[in-house]
Amino acid sequence: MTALLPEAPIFKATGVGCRFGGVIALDSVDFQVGPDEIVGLIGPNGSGKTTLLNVLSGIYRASSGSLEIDGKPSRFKSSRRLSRDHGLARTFQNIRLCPSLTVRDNVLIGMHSGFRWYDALWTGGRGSRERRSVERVEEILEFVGIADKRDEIATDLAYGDQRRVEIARALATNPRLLLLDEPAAGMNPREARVLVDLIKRIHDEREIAIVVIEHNMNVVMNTASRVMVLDAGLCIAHGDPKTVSSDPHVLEAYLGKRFRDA
Amino acid sequence: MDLLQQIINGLTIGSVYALVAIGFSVVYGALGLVNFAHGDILMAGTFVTYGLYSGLHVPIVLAAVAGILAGIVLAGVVEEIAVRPVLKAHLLIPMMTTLGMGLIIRNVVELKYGSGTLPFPSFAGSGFYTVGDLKIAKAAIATLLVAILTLVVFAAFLRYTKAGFAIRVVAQDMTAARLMGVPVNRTIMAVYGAGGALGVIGGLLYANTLEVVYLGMGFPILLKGFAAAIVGGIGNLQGALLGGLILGILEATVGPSAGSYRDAIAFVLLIAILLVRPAGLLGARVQERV
Amino acid sequence: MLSFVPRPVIRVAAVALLVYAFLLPNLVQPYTIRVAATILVFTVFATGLNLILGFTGLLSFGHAAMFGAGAYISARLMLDTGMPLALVILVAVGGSAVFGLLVGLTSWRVGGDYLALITLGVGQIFYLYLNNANEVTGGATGLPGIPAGTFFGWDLSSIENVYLFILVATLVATGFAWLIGRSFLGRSFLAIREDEVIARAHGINVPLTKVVVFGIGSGIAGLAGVLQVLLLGFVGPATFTVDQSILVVEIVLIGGMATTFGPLLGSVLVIGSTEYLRSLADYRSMIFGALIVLILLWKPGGLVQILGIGDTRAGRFRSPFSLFRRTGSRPAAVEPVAEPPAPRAVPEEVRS
Repeated sequence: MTALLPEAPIFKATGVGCRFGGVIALDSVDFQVGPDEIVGLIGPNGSGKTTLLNVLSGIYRASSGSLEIDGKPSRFKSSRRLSRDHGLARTFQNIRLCPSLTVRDNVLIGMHSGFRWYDALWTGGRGSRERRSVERVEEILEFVGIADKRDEIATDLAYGDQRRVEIARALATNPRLLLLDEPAAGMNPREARVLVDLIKRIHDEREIAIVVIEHNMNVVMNTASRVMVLDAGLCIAHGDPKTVSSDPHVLEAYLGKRFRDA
Repeated sequence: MDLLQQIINGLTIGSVYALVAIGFSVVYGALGLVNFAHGDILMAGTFVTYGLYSGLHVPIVLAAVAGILAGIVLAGVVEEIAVRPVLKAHLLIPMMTTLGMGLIIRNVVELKYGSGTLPFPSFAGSGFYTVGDLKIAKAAIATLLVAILTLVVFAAFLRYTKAGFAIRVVAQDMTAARLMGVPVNRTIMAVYGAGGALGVIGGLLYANTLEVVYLGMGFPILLKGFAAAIVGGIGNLQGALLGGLILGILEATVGPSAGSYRDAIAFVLLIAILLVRPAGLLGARVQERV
Repeated sequence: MLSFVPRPVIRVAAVALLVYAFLLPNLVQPYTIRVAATILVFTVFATGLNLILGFTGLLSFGHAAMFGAGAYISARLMLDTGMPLALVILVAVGGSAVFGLLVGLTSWRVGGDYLALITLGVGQIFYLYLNNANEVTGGATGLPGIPAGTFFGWDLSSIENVYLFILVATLVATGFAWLIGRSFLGRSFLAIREDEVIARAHGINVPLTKVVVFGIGSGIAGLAGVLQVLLLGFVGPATFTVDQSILVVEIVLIGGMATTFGPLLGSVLVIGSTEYLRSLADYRSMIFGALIVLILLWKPGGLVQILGIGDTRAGRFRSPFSLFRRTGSRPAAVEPVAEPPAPRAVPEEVRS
């Protein structure tokens, strides 16, 4: 199992805990991701997957644990600094798009860090950063396959397309690590297959490390090189997808004790 | 002795603020929305009582009941028209729509009574009780008594009646309440009605204390009530009571030396509390869900 | 309403309107010029608020204080010093921008409706100050007899010239707001309005942006204050009451939030009707109140959306995420919630 761990993780969190009042959402979890990995994060509902993602992306504050970024110890940072300085991007379990903006404007929000203050008054003309950003957004929309919908209001799109807008927006931040929170939720099998393909392409062509939370096992098994299973705020299994899916603890967590030996 | 006198005066006006603050807090606690029409509703209700009492010489109790009923109806109308349809919208929208409703209500009252200051004969009669060196206005005693009685009745309503329970459930989680069969829409209406009633009672006591009614009275009462609610921790009834009394006492003790800046005390207190402890004295912080 | 009109026609009409606006002083009575100038002053004022309220979704109920800061600073400078007008404008705009920045700092701690009340409080305190600091502000009587200025040799003593100056300033302010609005900064305002979590997760510095928008919006309102002084030759506290703050909120809402021409349209309707429909004066706030409610319930883009001119980014102001509409730190009496809502096995909303 240890052989699977990356040699030089870009993000490495040790003993991460997160509690709200008396409720322990995350007990103590070790988590790391290397520059060339797709890590699957699975577990029953309420096991703390999204909390882990929220802590890693700086949306929740960890109550315990330590963090290393590129091998250097670091405090847990705000989601803004993680996005701007450390190349971390994410999507949300409940799709969060700006409901009054077009697809293109939504994705442009991801480009925010690239602008300097004087760009606020230079929004047109060749060579302006605005123009160049629009061109890059075009390329990203092309890449995720929704270029033809660029001028539509983002929340008018079909569910699967909205997920892709979120991914496009995350890609626009030019990330090294992309956290996907249930990207296949609400997708039909065909859309899920397209998604698997997209995740692989993001990883292969853009060389971005990916962490994916997913309930759809087809998606996890077909993308992840390493899988981590959470239950009740603890990591109960960890390894390559095949081993994990037959691990007795995992079966117990998902199906209950009775099925463990069946 | 002087200080004690000022504190008593402060308690009187403070109990009025507390009533308004609680009316405000109930609505805010249940829906997380500020009702910007609250001040105009309580002003309109007070004017209804004024019209009946001093214009038509209806007995004060009946006139007051009519004013309170008017407040409940107005609050219900505001809820129905300006809040319900936009409950799920961006926070700004219901704030602005209630503001619009407030403008309408105020305009209607203005058409009838104009924008001048009108004398409101105190229903407790004028005169003082003297206890040692202290002079306590009869109106102040009446105000204090009515305020305390109202607060007790309202607290009992929230605690022991089915409707009060429904209000508390909706305040906790609207979706869960709906799923559990709580009539959410009716409860929200009840919340607004209760807020309106408390507001009008507060408005009447305010008018009784100052012996005037005027078109703009809703605004300072609203702001001070809100300041009191925030100081105590919004959505928290004991907090609102505490905040109202603190504000009243501060105004009575610090007020005289603040001169013409007296009305600024509430705002300074409000801003200070919000900056230092946004959750208020008795409030709890909540983590936003993602 | 005008969506059937081809775009080129609208463009031609807009250019014609602009030319007419410049020729106005030669065509109409001084009273009309004065009204038009007032409308433009409020357009500038509302343009500043539109950035804060319409774009960023921050409710400033004390915007008259920023307007007043610009007016009083410029009035004092014109009375006491011989500063050239350009410099006066610079100082007044800068001064009110700094004032706005300071008020905006409170948005670090509170958001939404709390901010509305803080700004309301600031507006009220400012008004008390204007009324009471007699040596500085002239108290309730205000500061009369402010001399007419000259802007780089352009004499602003006649109403015609003041009008033209105000027209140019309005164009500059509107153009500035238009540029900001379509830039990355405008997008970050909108992102904050709609979802602060999104904004933060994509590298937007939310607290800084809020303060910046307060500064910019207040600076523009300060410019409106200077223009008001040039127009009236007088400042008094009556122009900077809370009612005035609410009036400008009305203008922004009626004209259309987060639009370029909303402030102008709103100002034409609200100020214009006040001047020309005096028979309606008694019903004024009722009409505007009803208009606000109707607009927010059906056409959040205001007149811009109703007329169908220009694009509006207020049209989809309704967020489908009712749970998440709360922004900033909003304490409540409920206990903290442990886990986010459970993941859905079946989509709640599969839309095609």
